[in-house]
Amino acid sequence: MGIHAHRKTIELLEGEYSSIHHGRSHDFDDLREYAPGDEVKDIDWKATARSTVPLIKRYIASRQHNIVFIVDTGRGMAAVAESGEPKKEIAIQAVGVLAYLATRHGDRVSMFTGDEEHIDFTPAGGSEAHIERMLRAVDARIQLDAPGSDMEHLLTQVARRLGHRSIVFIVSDDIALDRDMDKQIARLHARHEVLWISVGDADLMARQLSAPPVWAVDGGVEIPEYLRRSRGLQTVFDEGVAQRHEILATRLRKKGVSAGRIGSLDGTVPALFRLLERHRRARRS
Amino acid sequence: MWWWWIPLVILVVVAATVGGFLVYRRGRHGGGLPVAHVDRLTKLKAYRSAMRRYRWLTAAALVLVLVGGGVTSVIAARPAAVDAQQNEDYKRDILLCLDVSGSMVGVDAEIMRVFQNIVKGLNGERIGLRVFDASGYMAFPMTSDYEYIMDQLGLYERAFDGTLGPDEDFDYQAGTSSVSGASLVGDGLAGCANDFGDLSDDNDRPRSIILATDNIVNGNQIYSLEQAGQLAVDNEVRVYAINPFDYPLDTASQQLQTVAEGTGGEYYPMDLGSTVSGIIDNINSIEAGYIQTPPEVQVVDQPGNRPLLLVIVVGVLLVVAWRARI
Repeated sequence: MGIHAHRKTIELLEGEYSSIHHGRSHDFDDLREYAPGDEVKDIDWKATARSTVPLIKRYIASRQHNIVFIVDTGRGMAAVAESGEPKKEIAIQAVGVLAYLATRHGDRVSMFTGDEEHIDFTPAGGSEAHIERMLRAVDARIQLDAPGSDMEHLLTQVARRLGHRSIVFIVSDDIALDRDMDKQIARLHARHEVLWISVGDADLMARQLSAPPVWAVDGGVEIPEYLRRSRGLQTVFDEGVAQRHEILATRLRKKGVSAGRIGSLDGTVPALFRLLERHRRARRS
Repeated sequence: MWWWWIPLVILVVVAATVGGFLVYRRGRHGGGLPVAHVDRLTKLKAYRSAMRRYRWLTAAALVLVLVGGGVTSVIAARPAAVDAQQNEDYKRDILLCLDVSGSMVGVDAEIMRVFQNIVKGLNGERIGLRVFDASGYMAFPMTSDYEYIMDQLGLYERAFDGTLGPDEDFDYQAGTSSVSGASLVGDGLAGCANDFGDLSDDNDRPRSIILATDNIVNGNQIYSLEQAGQLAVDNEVRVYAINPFDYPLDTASQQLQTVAEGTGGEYYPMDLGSTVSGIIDNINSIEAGYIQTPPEVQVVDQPGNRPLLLVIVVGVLLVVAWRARI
């Protein structure tokens, strides 16, 4: 399993994850004349001897991808997922799996986390300890008493601050895409390669006899049983949810953003696999 | 001014209750699951109408709870009506004490007639009859068997009138002349005064004797009339004397009057203007004053149809609560 990169500059590395070196690249590209400021140890003495001017070995600047995770850490992510497990766990597992894959290939992963009050940036790193730190940060951020989510603001900030071309994973939930967010995704996608991961939200309706009560993380209000068991409302709710998923999927597809939805902890790896596979096959417009 | 803190206490208790309830509401999420994106539901048009229905049901349930609570507290307060009844039955003992000497028979027959009328309207009173001439004879003891009393009174009436039937073998004078003499009123009255069975203090039935005699004593008495009167006083018996042959200056009449009034009773001379029934009425009204029947106060629960209302309210409340899944 690997993260496929479509960009031409990154395409150099396609299928070559196994040849990745840590640290400076030793892949020789060409020679050029020495210019003040160049490292003396980069001078190719043999070539210089044959030539009349000092020549510098030019290396491929970097063959590492920048993998960037944008994780929504608002309190909505502290809610339960479709399976009844905490969404946080699923988000952490998804980020962990992807970051592990990336670092195994020598990529460097960084992360933006954010809610409506603050945005945090974890600088790029490639070690397992780095991934561990990242995941711990996500775990600590996502709390029931955390501020609410504001993906639009987070995406805006990331689009403004993320200079290097990167592969961007957006980890969010069953969000309702509005026009502004749409714009920010397009803006991000223009420069970077964007993949979208939705952590599926829990069903609000009570369909089983022993469905536990649920309360909204925004406002803390419990949803009355009367509403949750109303057959008519269940039908309308299901239609609304299906429509919401459809809108999100359609909009992202139109932009060429690969999207996947994870409903449970066990479903994380298969869902990621499908996402990466879909992404690999997708033709970049 | 010790009570000034009562409203304060009530206020604190109410505030603590409400506060505790709110805290409980807040902390109740322990059992529930947190969910995000509730707007998936709340933005639906169907949600708003369902919520309105839910609010109505909840409000209805609240109203029902209040009504039920009100009805319950009214029932718990046991609404009652106070029913004060003056019981008209006078539980007293009357002893007819008749002198059956020849001169008295006409009056005795009249008394019999009057008492037969009275007995028809009695309830709980006891009547006894003793006749005397030289000696006393208990015709029948104190009883409330009115049928029997009627029989006996009728029998004596016919005997006094001399209209006994051919198959009636009865002598009203039987047992009244076992000693020599006639109209021994002192002995007769003494016998009558001892005829009341229960003389103990906790028997508060008023006792009275209706004594019909002319007080013309002929013979040696064991008890003088005064002594017999004193016996009546000792036994708390009032003596109402009826004298058909009253002469104001006659010592016999005066003695009878003195003794009768000495027991707390009255003396009735039978003159042209008075009738036996009038005299008996008079005695009855006097005796009614001695009857110590306090008005009977009954407190009667009157829940009315409130329990039924409560059952209906609770039933509807259950249905509403089930519908609203509160």
